Amino acid sequence: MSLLETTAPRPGPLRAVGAGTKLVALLGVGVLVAVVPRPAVLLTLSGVGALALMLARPTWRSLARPAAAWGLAAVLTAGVQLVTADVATARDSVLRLTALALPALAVMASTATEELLDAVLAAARPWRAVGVAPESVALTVALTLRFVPELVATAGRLRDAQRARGARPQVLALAVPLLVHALTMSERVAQAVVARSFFDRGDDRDQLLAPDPAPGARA
Amino acid sequence: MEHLDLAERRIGVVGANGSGKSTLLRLLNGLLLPASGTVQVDGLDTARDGRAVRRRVGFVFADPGEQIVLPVVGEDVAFGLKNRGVPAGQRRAMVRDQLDRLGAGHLLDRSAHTLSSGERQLVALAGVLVMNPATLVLDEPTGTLDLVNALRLATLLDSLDLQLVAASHDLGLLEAFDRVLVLDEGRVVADDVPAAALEAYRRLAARTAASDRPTVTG
Repeated sequence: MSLLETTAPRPGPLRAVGAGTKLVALLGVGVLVAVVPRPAVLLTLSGVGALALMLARPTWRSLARPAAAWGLAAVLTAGVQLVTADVATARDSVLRLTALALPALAVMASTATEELLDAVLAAARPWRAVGVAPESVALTVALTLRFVPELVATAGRLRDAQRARGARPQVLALAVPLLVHALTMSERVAQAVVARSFFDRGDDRDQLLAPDPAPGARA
Repeated sequence: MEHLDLAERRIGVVGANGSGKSTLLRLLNGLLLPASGTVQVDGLDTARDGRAVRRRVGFVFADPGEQIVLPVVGEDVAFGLKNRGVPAGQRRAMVRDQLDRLGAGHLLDRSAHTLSSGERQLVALAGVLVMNPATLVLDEPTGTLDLVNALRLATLLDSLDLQLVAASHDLGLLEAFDRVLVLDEGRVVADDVPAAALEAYRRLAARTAASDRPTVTG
């Protein structure tokens, strides 16, 4: 349901709201957080976000990873602010994070990925005139949602392998093989996307439902 | 490769790593185009008629996890159908039906990254079969599976009413096929019924292993 845990949305009041509407509302929350970062506003937005998340009706299990990710980000943010600024700044930073994370989780928990992609596609369509390919933007979003958890798992395996060889945890030692893995995987994923007709988009239902039955390849 | 006709219902491809198996498979649905000559599927040139060729030839990759491109199983199986403009209601029915036929209906709402290797293979297969291809190309279909899942997959593949072309190191899988090609350094060095072709492959592998045997000195 978040970047780290995407599941099928469950029925609920928020499920019926269009993906585009939810994304626009989320954008509005982002603008408010950036423009009016007062604690009262951030608290209100967090409250609204929590209510929206309840209306999305995610399972407790599906909330575990996002909660852990939020907790880690909050601790890191607060820690840095406490060292470099003061308690009030640290509090406001955590509130900002919360005011953004809760409605984002609500949107993800109540929206099917394909609806999200359709909304992204529609939003990106006007940009075609300036050379942006809407399908590529939507595909990027989809692949990000799909492969971030895979990369997190790969990072875990790399870390275990390095520990097994007696290496101490180092960011660079983890980042380089992870980047290499991601790049080689991206080549294969790109082939899979082609093989699955992403670039053949268009209506050919008739052929699909009644394919040519005669097999045979010649090289 | 010259005048290679692949007309049998189940065709296996074996060879050492780097012998050209995956390249041959990718040529069959236009993922790779030949540097010279042509590859034709049912009279269609893969270079000119890529879209029509991909409609006929489904491809299951060696790592099915990399073929699953959407985060939820049901959405991923529907990915190709959506790309081809099948309406949402019809898409859902086709996806559910395909997953049920593979005994994977319970995976419909699962998050893709929580699937086991066997489940990933089924989901990847469902995403291809739901497109109703005439030919199914599989690159190392049992490579990530335990013995139980490999046997299940073999039974499943045997039950499909379409042409299969599979590259595999799983010689047991290919024994039940109609024809097996043995590749070595990009060339077909044997092309026969499974028993004869696999025997030729075993001899080739034994010769190669003997010639590459490491020596201990000192």
